[in-house]
Order: sequence, then C-alpha cells, then structure tokens
Amino acid sequence: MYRRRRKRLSLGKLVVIIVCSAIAASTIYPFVFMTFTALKTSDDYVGNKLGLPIPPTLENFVTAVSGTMGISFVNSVITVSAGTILTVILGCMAGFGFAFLRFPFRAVLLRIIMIIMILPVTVLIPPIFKVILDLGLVNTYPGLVLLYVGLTIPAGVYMMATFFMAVPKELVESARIDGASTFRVFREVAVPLARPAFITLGTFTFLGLWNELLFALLVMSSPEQRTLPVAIALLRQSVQNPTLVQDAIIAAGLLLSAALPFLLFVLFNRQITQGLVAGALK
Amino acid sequence: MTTTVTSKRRLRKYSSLGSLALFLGPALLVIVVIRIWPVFQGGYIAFTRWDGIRDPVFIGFDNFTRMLSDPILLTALGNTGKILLLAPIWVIGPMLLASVIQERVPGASFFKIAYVLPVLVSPVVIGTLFVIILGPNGPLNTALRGIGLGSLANNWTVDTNLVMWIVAGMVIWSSFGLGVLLFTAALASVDESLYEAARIDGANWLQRFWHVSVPSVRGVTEYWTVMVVIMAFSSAIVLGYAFSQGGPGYASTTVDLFIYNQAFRYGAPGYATAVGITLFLLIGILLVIFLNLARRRGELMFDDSGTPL
Repeated sequence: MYRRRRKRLSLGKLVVIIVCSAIAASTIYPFVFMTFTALKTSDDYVGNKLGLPIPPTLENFVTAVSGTMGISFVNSVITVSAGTILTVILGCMAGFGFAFLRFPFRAVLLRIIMIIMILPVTVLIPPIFKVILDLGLVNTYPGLVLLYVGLTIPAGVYMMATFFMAVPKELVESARIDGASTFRVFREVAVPLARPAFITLGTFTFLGLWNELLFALLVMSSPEQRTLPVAIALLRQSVQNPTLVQDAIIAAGLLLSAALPFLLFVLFNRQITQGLVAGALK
Repeated sequence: MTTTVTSKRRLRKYSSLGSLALFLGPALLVIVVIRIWPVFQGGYIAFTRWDGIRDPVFIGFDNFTRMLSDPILLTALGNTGKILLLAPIWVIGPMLLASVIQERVPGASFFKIAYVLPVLVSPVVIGTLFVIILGPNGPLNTALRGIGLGSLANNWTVDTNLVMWIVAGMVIWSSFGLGVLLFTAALASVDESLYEAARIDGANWLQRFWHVSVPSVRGVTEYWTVMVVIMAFSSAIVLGYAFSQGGPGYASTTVDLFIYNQAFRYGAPGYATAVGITLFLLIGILLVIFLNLARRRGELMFDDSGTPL
C-alpha cells in the first residue's frame, strides 16, 4: 500500500517537473537567445542563429551606443532616477502623514489614492499629455519627471502609508514626549525606520519607470532627449523591412535595456518581490 | 469608525494645517495635477472637437455617436476581448503553478525567478525580441525547418488571423510570473495543519488544492483577477506597438492602442479622449463596485490613540 502510493506520487511529480521546466525554459530561453545574438557579429548571426556566440564580440554594443542609444541610456538614467528619488521622498512624507497625522476624510482619501493606483493610465494618455502641453513642459526633462512622479506616486504613498501604519505607535509617542516637533519626529524616528521600505519602493519604482515607453515617446520627441525604450522602439521602426543584419545590433540594444532590471533583481531580489506583492497581501 | 469615538474627548482634534501641508501637500498636488485633473478635463474634452493644437470646440455628443458606429473601435474592442477570453487561464495558471512548485517540486525559488524574468523587462524589449524570434527567417522558423517541420513555419508577425493571439499570448507570458509570486506568497501563509488534516482524511493532491489552497488564497485570487482585467486593458498597448504597430491593418490594435493612435497618429485626440474617458469610467465603476463587495478585506486600520502630531 505504502509502496504503491509512493510510486504513483513520483510519477505525477515527474510530469509536474517537466511541465514547470518547460514553462521556465519558455521564459529563460528568449533572453538567452537575445544575449547570444547580441554577442555575435551580424554575419555570424545570419549563418548561425541558434548557436553559441563563438568568439563573442562586443561590436554590436559599440555600434548601438555610438548611435543615439548611448545618449538615450543617459537620458533614461537621469529621468528615471529623478522620478524615483522624488517618488520615494514625497511618498515617504505623505505616507507618514497618513499614518501619524490626523485630518478629516483620511480613510476616504487613502482609498481614493488606492483606486487611482489600480486604474489603468493608458486609456487617459491624451488628457494627461494635455496637462504637460498646457504647462508648457513638452520636450523638457521636468515635464517627463513630473509625469513619472505622477505615475508612481499613488503606489508610493499607499505603500509607505501601509508601512508606517504597521510601525508601533510607541516609537513615535516617546519622541513626542521628548518635545520633538513633527518634522523632527519624521526625520529622526520615521525616516531611519523606513529604510528597508525605501529600498523596496525605490527599486520597484525604478523598474516601472525604466521600462516606460508611451509618455517618453510623447514628451521627449527630439532625438537627443529620447529615453532608452523610445530609442529601441524607433530603431526597430526605422527598419521597415528588417534584414537579419540589423537583428544583432537591435539585440544589443535590447540587452542594454534589460541588463539593468536583471542586475537590480539579482541585487534586490527580496525587496523587488516584496514590492511586486505589496498591494495584494496585508 | 474609531476616529470619532476616541478623538471627541481630545482638545485638539486634527493636526496643524502647517504640518498637513508640508507632509501631504506635495504628493497630493502631483496626484491632482497628473491623475485627477485629466479625468475632469478629459470629461470636458470628450464633448469637443480637439486637434491637439487649437482650443477644443464644443460639439455636444458627436464623439459619442461616432463611437457607436466606428467599425475600427469595434475591432479594437474585439481584440481586447480576445485577451479577456484568456483571463481564466491567466488566473488559474499561476495559481496551479504556485501551488505545484510550492509543495511538489524541488527548487521552488529557481522557478519563481525564471517565471518573473519577463515581468522585469520592458514590454518594448519583449515586443521587439519576439519580432526577431518570430521573423520570417528568424530562429523559430529556422529551428522548425531544421527539424523537418518547415511546413509549420509561418510569417507570424503579419498573419492576420494569428497576430492578435500572439500579442495576447505575450501579454500573459510577460505577466503570469507576477501571479505566481502573489500566489506563492499567499500559499506560504496558509496553516500547514489544514493540509495535514486533509491528508489524514485521505484527500489526494487535487482535492487538497481545491478544498484547502483555493479557499485559503481567495483574497489574492480576487486581487489578481482585478489586476488581470486591468492589464487586459492596459498592457497590450506597448507590446502591440513594438511587435506589430497594431497591424496588419487593425488586426492587433487593442482598445488602448486605438486610443493612442487616434490621438497621436490620426490627429483626433478629442475623439480619442472621449473613448478613453468612457472606458476609464466604466472600469472605475466596476472597480468601485468590486471593492465594496470585497470590503471585509483590506480595510486599513488607523490607530488614533494619543494626541495627533
């Protein structure tokens, strides 16, 4: 009896392992292919699409970066970093406010922010773009950064508010008894406490903005202002009937964009997972 | 709730206006300018003719009547509908995978990392990568020909009947890992003794999944279902843009890409806004109804003891 059960289980287990592995292969292999292709010369790729890049070459990266993609990479770093830092600072302050300050309609307001966080932005792109247009911020870095903060701040506020609400109130109370002002309580008690939450929110926000295409495409239209996703999208479109020759260079551009998220995930695996899961579990 | 009960006795009911403005002001200002104001302004623009350059001109319900008889919009809605048709797989798939890698397979953390890779990368990268992989002489066709299945090789990116399903597949492929993460996190907090009890009662794996796991992660299932519906309306746009520019024709234009193209490619941002606002309000109403039904969960508790800061 015992033997039979064990045997049946292990057969089922084998099937399950095969299915799970096949799905894992489907998510890993395209990125392996991308990396191999980026490391091949164009000729090598045309003759040998699936094989290893032997010998590996970096010439595709040189070609990609020496075009406008190098500048685009820098633009992405600037705008995404600025957006992330502002989201973390403003989100931390507002989250502190929701958790420790008292004002009317607080619960309703936080609920509205949560709903705004969930609702899709993509269907409202034309009227959102009009705001930037009306403010005269088209083709400016502040315009894109303002948009980026607008995209990520609802999640930032909500995440920090839930974080601070879970903080034992006594920590803040004791500082109050010492006569500290609200701002000092924030700076000397709340901010040091929230350091792990900063990393979670920061990496999560950075990833989201690093991958953003649609607003960057609208706001930063001149070539020297493009962000990396825009450069990739346009590189692809500029070649209407793409020959295989360009594929290796495009793959290098894709790897430039994907490398940073992968690196962040290696470094901050736990925090990113926490950030992704944050909305669902409490 | 507890707010009124405890604070009635206090001298000072609310925090000072100065600290409220300092801490909440900047974030709320950005939210109002970028997220709330466009809804109201869009509500007005929906009733105007607007070319994106000159001031909008009021035209009443013209945009809405146009919407009702726009065959391209109908195609776009149908394309988004195709993604929604796959929603059951999109919800149940990650739940099954999470449950399976949690308890049956060694190396759960490896699988979680593998599945989440596409979530980390920009949809532009994914769309473009699949253009290369599925290209006429790309690696997939090369591989098919190489193993003698050349008859299956196809010009995937321009096949009108297939292209939308490929985009829908990419939408799911690039997000199911997030669902797996959510469900594994939820399953990890299920009381182990429930499984133990079911096992003693002789329940097999499927029975344990159905009678213990599924009810235990109900909250996350609801949340993930909401996310799936929202993503169906919002995450095909970039993939479709990068993969096939919504084409050939309108074969892979989803409704969000339709709005974007109407506004910025075909010069009808007023009409695009009307479509967008309508959709936004519909989704918003559904979401609020849903959240109220699911209210027992996710209610934030404010601790209002002591004097406010």
